[in-house]
Amino acid sequence: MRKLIAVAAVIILLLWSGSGVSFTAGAFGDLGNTARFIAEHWFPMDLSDWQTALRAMVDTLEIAVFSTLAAAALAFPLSFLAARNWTPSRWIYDSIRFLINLFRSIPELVLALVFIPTLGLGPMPAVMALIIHNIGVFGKLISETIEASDDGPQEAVKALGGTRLLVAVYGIVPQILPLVLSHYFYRLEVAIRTTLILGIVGAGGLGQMLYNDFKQFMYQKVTFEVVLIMVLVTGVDYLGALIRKRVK
Amino acid sequence: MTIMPGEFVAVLGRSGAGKSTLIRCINRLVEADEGTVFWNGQSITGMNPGQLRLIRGEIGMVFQHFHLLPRLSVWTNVLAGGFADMPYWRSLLGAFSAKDRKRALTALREVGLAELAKRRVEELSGGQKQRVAIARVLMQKPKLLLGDEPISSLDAVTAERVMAFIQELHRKRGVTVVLNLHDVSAARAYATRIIGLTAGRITFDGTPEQLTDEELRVIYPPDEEDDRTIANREGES
Repeated sequence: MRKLIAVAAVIILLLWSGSGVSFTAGAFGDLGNTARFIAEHWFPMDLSDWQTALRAMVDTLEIAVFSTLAAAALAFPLSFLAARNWTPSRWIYDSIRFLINLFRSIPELVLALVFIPTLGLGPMPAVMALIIHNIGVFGKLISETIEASDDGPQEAVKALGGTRLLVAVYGIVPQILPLVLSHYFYRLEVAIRTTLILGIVGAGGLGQMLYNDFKQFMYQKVTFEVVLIMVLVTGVDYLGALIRKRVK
Repeated sequence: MTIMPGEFVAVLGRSGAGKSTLIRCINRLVEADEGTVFWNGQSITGMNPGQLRLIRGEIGMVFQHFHLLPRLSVWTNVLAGGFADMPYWRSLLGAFSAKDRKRALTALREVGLAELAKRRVEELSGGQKQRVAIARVLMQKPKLLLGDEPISSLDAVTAERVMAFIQELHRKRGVTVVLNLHDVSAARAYATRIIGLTAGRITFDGTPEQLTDEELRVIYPPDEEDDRTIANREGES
């Protein structure tokens, strides 16, 4: 009976939300046109701007790597203060949690738009937006990893007369490191995609190039840019897997 | 209850009787609800964090699940035994002095694990892990050794070996020992004094010879008579 209710609930949810976005079977009839559109206008690839495109790809990677590294470095110490089992006081815990949740709740696009008037166009607003949002995300992920960590080693460091900081350095950090790395690479991948979106509001990189070419109907150039995006995301994923394999 | 220097005390009792709590109240890994713990005339329970850390440096501890520092080397784990003695920056940065490193290696040699110094602790067997924990205690040079079921997750042969190391600490170095044990025969074999806990109260305190079968029945009451024990046990795990 409970299973039936659950299934019915999912179906109702699907119908309700589907009608909201006017998702009807009729739309599939036009998919043929989509295929023809791609076949006729997107190929062959236009490689004439390959140097600019590669440069843009590196820009995108730089924005994503710098922002996530900076965010992770800032969020790491904050996460300890925001972990119930480590924080020195309830008051600190509550305020850092509040800050982290606030940072995470504002979408990067909104943050970037807020920074554009003062920081101007270019990568800076995007970098700021990514850093702030990702401090929130890393803060949540890392502090929860700390809370879920085995307290045996922490007890041992305490029993040896270790300070709170030593408990963190020897009792917590080594055991959470693999998970933190895993979180980092996932967020890097997300940050690359976000950087592409922020290209629309002038952050530069592949996203902006793609958007500009698309607006000028230069679909054959867009094709090459999409391929570069795929290479970038796959490459980061591969590198992440490689590093995580070594840090166990 | 008073424990004299040089005693080897075994605490017996069922799961949930309060053995772990008792042991942990001594170095304040658990805060006592009431009462005072004295150490050489000083009140441990009244100490500020800085004083407490110094006292903890003088009290070694071994655990049922070893509580080694994961993903670090055997050597580093033993060096951690010297935290209370070395300059703070050295422990924080892991920049251990040559003297400390040598001392840690000597401790490892004593438990027969010097050749594994550079291995990660995850690679060791349970018995080896507990010997690393003992080496950590040797490095620490404590006046008192606390043990929370140090042999409960070891097989009989390994358990005996670990108990022999603890006995050596007691006999040769004059370390006072207080251990929670599950194994009554081990308590009889090694302890100079046995304390029985039943549902949080001391129900026996005497020499191994004084521990009769009747006394044991008081320390280990049968299940159906005591619901509190079961409730406590669930609370503990």
